[in-house]
Amino acid sequence: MDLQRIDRRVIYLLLLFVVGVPLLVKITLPISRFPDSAGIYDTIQTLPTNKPVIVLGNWGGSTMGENGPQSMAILYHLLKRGIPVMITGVDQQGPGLVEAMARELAPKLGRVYGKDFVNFGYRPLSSVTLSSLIKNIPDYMKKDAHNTPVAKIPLLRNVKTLGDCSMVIDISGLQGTTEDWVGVGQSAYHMKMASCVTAVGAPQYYPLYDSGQLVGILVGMRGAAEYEALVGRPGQATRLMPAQSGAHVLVVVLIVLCNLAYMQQRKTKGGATR
Amino acid sequence: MIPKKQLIAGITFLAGLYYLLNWLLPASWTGGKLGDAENTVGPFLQVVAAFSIGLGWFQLLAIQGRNLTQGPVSQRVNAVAFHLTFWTVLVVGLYVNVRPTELPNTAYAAKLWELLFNDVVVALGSAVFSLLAFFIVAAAYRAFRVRNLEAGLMMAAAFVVMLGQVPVGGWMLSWFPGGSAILPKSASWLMTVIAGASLRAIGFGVAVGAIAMGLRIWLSLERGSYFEREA
Amino acid sequence: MDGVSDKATPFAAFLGLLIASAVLLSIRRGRRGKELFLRRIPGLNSVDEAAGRATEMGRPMLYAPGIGGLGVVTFASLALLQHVARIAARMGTRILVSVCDPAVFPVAEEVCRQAYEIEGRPEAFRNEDVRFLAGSQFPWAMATMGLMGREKPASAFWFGAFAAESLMIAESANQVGAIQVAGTPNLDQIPFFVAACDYTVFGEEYYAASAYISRDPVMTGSLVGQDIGKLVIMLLIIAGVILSTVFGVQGNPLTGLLR
Repeated sequence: MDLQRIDRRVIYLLLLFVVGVPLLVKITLPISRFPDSAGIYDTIQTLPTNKPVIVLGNWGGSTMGENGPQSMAILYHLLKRGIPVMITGVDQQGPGLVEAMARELAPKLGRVYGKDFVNFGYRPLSSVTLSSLIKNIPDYMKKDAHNTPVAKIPLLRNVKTLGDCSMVIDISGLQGTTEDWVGVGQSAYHMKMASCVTAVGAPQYYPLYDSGQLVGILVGMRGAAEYEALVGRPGQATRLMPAQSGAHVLVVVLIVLCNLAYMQQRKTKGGATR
Repeated sequence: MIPKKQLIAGITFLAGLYYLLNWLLPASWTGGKLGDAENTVGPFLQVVAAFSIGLGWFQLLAIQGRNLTQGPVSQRVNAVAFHLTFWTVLVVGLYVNVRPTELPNTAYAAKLWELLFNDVVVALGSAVFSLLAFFIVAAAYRAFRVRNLEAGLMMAAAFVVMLGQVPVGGWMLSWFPGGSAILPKSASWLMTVIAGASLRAIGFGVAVGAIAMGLRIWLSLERGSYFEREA
Repeated sequence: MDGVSDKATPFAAFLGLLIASAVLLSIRRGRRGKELFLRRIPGLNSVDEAAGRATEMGRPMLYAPGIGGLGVVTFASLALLQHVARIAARMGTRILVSVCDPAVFPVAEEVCRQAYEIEGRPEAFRNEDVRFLAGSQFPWAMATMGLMGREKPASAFWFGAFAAESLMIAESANQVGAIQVAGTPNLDQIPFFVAACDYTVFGEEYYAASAYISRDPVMTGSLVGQDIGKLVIMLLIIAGVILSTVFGVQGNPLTGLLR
């Protein structure tokens, strides 16, 4: 068998196997603590409970596997601490999905819609409308996702501008949303900002984290699992980490095998030439 | 009559000038008027973009309509699937979201809408995104060859990041004190310092390139493109 | 307007104007006929080769201007699309254009139509070959993969804003044996294109595409301006490092300017 030319369907089957088995058999692995995840946790721990946090549900079904557990862990932390949460987003699906998670957590934590969290739904924010939003939140939002006027939402009683919020957390499967908020929102109010992103999109956020513009990043499912460990509530991400570990190990093994065969081939060819 | 090219160049210049001045000039200089005009310009842009969706729809319908009547069997099957889903989502969406209180059976329609949106669109999206894992594994296996020292270093870095990002990386070296933190810390360092620095460098180049490109479009200096006939 | 705004800080305004001036002055120099050097960009040299291969094989080429809207990134791609479409018109090769954003669709169609007109073959242009396939990322990727499976393009050009779908489309093109040239300013997609495509163009090279291919003095001048802009940024970084080392980050006078 030529290890340099394994049929891609065999590779697909192997991947299915290493991802599938840990989902069926319970495997427990220790969760690491990266400083990028801990940065968000430590910041939320110091936030005041009288100022809301804006949670951007900029994700949809496609990135639910990563952004879903991230949203759950972050919402759990915020609602448990009693920090008001304002949900919105530029994805049609995201805000509704995040609200559903908040509604799932609320009864257990004694929180209610309107007072402790509110969903403003999908807002097609361009940088133009973003600048309108940050200057006057009630005027831009007008109603929540369930058509309740902002005047009737207790959470918004003392909120006028972005400056009345304590932090923005962008949970995103889209490109450029964090950059928009860093460029417009943060430059205006010097807001604390964090970004929860898919693993595939994470590398471009490290410069923002390293420069202090982001207090932290949650990277894919591993970030969600770490956050679940930090808030002491192991959930979906923790359960799925062995599956992700299996996939990563498989990639490493395949690359090593392929390169061993490649080196062997080079050695043989070199010998023949000599 | 103003020639088409000059008209487009003039409108492009004025629109660009507005955004440039709005960004550059302090609000106190203009009494906030430039900034307030954003509330008009923003919706205007959204309306123009919304109309272009109609053009896209029109072409999709035209092509799939032709496939339905004239195409080979495989294309006819695709066209039937397209029309079925297109019209179902459109009709149910309009029924639920346009004046819901005045229409009968909106509760059933809302359930159908929820089924289509949450249980079909969301599930399909997740399924397609998960396919990426298969493509990544296959591409990494096919493309990653250690041909020289640089490629070897790249592979070592990739292994550290891949294993450091998952619990198994910590577990592999946990047999000696402090070992479990080695790979995660190294992965974090590689991403923040090494990858971060190179991404910043590329990012600066991209930003400067975007400024230059923006200037060329704003001043209609871009050669031979967008409605100008190239020599 | 309570004193808080999304306006440029004085330093950002100064830096922006400085870079813009450098670009405009270099364009002026280019226009006056000053000979300017351009380094070789293999990814862009390969565009003509990839287009020629489709002609030799008698199969179509596929061009995708990304999933972004009508912005600077897509405009840069449309400029290259015209170049590729002109080759297609000249060689009598079919070019399929797969569009994701509805606002880009009519512009892409117009760009291709003009390319055929410029080459004196307006009758050869088939407007159904410029296709709006879907308005969102993954449906578009699936539709493009299906299109490749049916049409088997000999060459594929991925130029524009791409996200997680980049590897899917590039791997699919690889499976149908297409030679691929990809270019994107999206930093996180570079590794995927590098792994799956034959030639890649990234970073500022992406914005240099139209200038590099046309060799127009105005365009070349703007590239020199870009380099001056980068030089300014590099000098600022060096100054920042020295000042931060001497005065500390908080005491660094540049830190104050940036706020």
